[in-house]
Amino acid sequence: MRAQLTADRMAPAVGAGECARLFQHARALARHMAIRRQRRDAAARFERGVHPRRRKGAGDSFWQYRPFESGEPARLVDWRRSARSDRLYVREHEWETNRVLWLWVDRSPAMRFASRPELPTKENRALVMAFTAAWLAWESGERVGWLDGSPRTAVTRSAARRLLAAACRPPTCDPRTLARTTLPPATRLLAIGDGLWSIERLADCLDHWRGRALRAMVVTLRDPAEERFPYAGRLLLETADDETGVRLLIEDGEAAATAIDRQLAAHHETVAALLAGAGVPHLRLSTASGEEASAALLAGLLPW
Amino acid sequence: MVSLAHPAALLALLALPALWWLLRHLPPAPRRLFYPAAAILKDEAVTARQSERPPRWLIVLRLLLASLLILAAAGPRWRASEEAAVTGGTGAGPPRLLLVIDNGFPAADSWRRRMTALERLMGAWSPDARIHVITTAPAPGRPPAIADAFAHALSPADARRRLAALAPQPFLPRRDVLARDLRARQATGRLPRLTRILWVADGFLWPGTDALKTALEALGPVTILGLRQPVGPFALQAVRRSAAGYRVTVVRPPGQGETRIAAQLVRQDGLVVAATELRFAAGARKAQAELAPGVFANRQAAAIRLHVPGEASAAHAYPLDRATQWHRIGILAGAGDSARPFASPVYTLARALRDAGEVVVGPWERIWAQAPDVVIVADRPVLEDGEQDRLRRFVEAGGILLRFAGPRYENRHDRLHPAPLARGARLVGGDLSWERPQRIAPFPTDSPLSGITVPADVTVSGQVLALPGAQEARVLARLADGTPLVTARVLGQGLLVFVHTSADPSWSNLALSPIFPRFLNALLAATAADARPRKAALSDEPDKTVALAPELVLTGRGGLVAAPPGVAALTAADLLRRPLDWAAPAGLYRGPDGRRALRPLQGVPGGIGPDFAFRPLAGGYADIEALAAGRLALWPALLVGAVLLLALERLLLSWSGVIAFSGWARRKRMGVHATRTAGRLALAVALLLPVDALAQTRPLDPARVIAAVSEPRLAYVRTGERVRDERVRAGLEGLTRILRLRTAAALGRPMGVTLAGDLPLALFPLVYWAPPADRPALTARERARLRRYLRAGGILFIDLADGDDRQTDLRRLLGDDALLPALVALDSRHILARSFYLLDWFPGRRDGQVVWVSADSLGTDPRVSPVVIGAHDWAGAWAIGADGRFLAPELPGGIAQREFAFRFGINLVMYALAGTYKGDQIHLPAILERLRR
Repeated sequence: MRAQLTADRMAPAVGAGECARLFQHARALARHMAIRRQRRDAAARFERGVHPRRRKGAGDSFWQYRPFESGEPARLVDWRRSARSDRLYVREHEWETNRVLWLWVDRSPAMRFASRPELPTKENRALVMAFTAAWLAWESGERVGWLDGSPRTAVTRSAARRLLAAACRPPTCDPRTLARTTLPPATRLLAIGDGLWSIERLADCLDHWRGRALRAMVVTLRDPAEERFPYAGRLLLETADDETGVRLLIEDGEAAATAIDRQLAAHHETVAALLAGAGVPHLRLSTASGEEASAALLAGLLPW
Repeated sequence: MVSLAHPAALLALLALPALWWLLRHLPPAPRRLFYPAAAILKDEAVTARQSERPPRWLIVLRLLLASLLILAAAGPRWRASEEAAVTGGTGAGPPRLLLVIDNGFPAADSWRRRMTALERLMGAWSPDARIHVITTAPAPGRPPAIADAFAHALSPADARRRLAALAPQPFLPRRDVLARDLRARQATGRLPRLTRILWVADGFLWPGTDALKTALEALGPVTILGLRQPVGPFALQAVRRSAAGYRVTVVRPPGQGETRIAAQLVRQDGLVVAATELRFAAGARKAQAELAPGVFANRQAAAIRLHVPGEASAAHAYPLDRATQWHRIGILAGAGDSARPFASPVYTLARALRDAGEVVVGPWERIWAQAPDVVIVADRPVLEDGEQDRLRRFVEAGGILLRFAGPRYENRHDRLHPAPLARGARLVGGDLSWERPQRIAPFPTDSPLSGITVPADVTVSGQVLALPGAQEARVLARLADGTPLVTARVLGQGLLVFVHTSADPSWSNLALSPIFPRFLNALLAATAADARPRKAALSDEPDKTVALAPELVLTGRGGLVAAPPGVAALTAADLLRRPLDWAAPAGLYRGPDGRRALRPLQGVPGGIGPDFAFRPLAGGYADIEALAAGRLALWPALLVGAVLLLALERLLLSWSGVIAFSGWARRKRMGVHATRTAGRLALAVALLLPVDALAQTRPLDPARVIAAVSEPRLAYVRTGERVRDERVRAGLEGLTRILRLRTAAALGRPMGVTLAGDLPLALFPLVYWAPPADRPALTARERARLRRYLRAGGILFIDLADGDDRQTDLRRLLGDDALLPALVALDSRHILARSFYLLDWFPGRRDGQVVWVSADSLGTDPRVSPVVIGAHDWAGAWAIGADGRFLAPELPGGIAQREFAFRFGINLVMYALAGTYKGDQIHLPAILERLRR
């Protein structure tokens, strides 16, 4: 039954239980990645969640001395510096804080596709990737937030369950609204989808990100059947289980395969070029490759 | 020859070219796929119109499929036109048919096959047909009456009922008699004009065949029907008493394949005491085998029966009478014999005769009390005058006296010898003798002992000599010097046999030699064999005038039943010469000296004799089964073909679709598709096969349960065959009605149940089960339910009226595990035979079989037998139709048989309701005894 569903028809959406399982699975995967990374370059230690903000604020690192202004509390005076001259100085520290990683996973019906029963659906793999990124971020002491259209908060590791709860909620986020999400400026955003977006909308999105100085990274997942068209005979392709989606009648799948492959490849190249032009790191993955290899690729790029 | 039920449906074939065009121009339905990437595909580039058409083979396949369906809808039937000829065709007015049915013993072996086919044929007859039914063989005790047949024309339904009540009879078909009667009636002009005459023949040429054919052809067009490939018929041609037991010769028609049948020696109660196998080589007409009774001593074999692949027949049975039965042998033993028991002749004789019959050893009183057939007196004179007279009377009345000489033998006052004896004994080979012990000469060829080879080391050292010149005695064996060893003489009806040496080791080691039992058996077999050989060999005329009263007659199925009133008494001469007819059927007749058998088929003109043969009917006949099969429509086969074709199409389609895949995916896909298609195919075939709806378990319906227990009632097992179930239900209703009239048991209407279980069986005190002969074996679930029911105290009444071979049927039905308790034959001592009426006869529509009950239901502490098994078709006898008349209009035993069938039913119900209550009478003596004290 399951094989039947994944092969020809849309797979069911990933439910809460499956989501939780993937979450725990990703945790093990992330720990594995972290250990590998530590072993590889023990010198380049991950900073433990403190990132200088290049401005004054709460922190340990010295930022600058500034002249004392009258009316300030006397305890702010840095007496050692002030003793070297006859002016009073105040020592200012660089503002240091932990970063927030925002995660966005495309949960549209198109993601519930796996061309062969033994392959995971794109949604499945995307969730694993997102969760792995989350665990890696927590490992480094960062905060992680889940973009799902509801009021957002980023959480630390101690509140991992809240993130899971957000991820498990039925997806309400329309992928097209990603462009319009209001995130604080200069945030990090990891967007995972299948890249089957319309080019115009993606360009809009990138403009928006650029304008808000978002540091985004995009992971696109593709099923092998979306790289090479495998079906033969007279086919009716549907993008949704009901009548709402696109329906495309193909007279001879075998003959049309080359054209389809070419069109798909062109689309993905366009997407890649757009992203490269916007300076957005882009990772292309296939659901056919193992999840550990995919996770390793993702982890290698992560503190971008 | 194929005809169509709905020829108009063939017009649809004209639409096939249109279908061809449509198929050519309509592409196959697309395969629907969920493929999200389609959202970004540009349609024009991809969906460029190619001339996609189904391949030619696909079109051909589908057209074939369509034509098969159209043909199936037309309802083709095989040979239906010939069938129309058989039914009388389309004449003016209602067709009037005459059915002539050969119901003699040659038809018995395949009787049901013939009747089933005939019934099927009749299913197509128009309901307004008038049918006369005539049989060629009479029933025992009832003269043939064709007047009745022509007086009452039956409707097809009534005729079918009449046919169901017909049974094969233990005679050859008397075509000559029927032809004579027909001609006589025709001469008086009292015969109706007939549309058609169907003669269901047994397929063999018997006397009067041509005469009957001519007589019938004078009445109307005749069609002779028969079986193309009948089983048997087998017939017991001869049974001869041999040294080891019986020599059985069986004949069958020529041209049949290799077959093995069994000959069985059965007791009166149906128990098989010995059996042997007869092997017919392919094409062989005759087979012989020796039936050795073995070690079952002291048993009385009642008959020899054949156990054949077909049905039972009168020609398979051979009732044994006094002449062929085992002997009851009395050996006189006195006080002296117990002193040295192992050296006494009594011991050696009793041992040697252990297998020859029932041996009684003891003093005179004991022997006479047992009414022996043979008395053996060894090594002692018969001195008492009373005993001498008694022995003489015994021999003159037909008994056999076998005497042995010996050291204590004195013949002074004793004249019960075949020949006068010399005084004293001749002793040779002793210390005072020059002569050597004598050897026994080879037995003369005319002696009954011939065939036994005497070992060289058997010698005789003492003998009693006969006086020379004794004329009336016949010498059966001699010593090497020519002196007689065994002499015999006829005395009255009986025989005196004298062995001139001892039966113990004192005078001869003959008694110790391995040939001694054969020696004795051959002596008894030959001397007592039967009336004819004795008469011929010993030239004595039997008394022809003694009347023999009919006691048991052979049924058409080889059973023995009480003689019906019409059977006449015979004389001894009749036994040898009289042809069998309705007034003198085969069976056992009681005379003053015991039972005598009138052999089945004996003396029938052209019947079973040394040159007996089944000669095929000249001119041939139509195969009734093929004709009846014509009623079977061909459409199911066409439909099955269409489904198979559909499956093939799916398989080819999926396979050809798979070609486009590459690499491992192809192989993998192919596997998946193949299994899926195979699964669909299996499903389609399974759906098409007739589903036994009765076998499916249904949830318990509370309303039915409440209805079932609202009144006590009988239940029957539904078989799924409507006619059969209806008949059994009518039978139980009839019984219920009679129960209401005669007893206090007011039962509700009987209910049908299934063994697989729509209702708990335990709701019913008695479940009647008449399984069809071809019912599949019980499933594990049915067995478990039955076992629970039987344990819970229910009674299952199994009526195997349908089967040919009850034991095998039962074993096959119930499986090998111990569902049944040990069984014994029902007799009048059983509580079942006295729970309401006192019964000693348990017939149904049929008779002659044993009824079995569990072994522990007999005796002083009886249990209720959980099963009662029989084969008499009781429901058939009880069945009362909607019009209040019996469904089986007549029973072989007449009104008495119907009455007894009901009595048995009443007893059975009483037994089921009241258990062993009536059995308490068994304890009556003990209770009286206690009261007296």
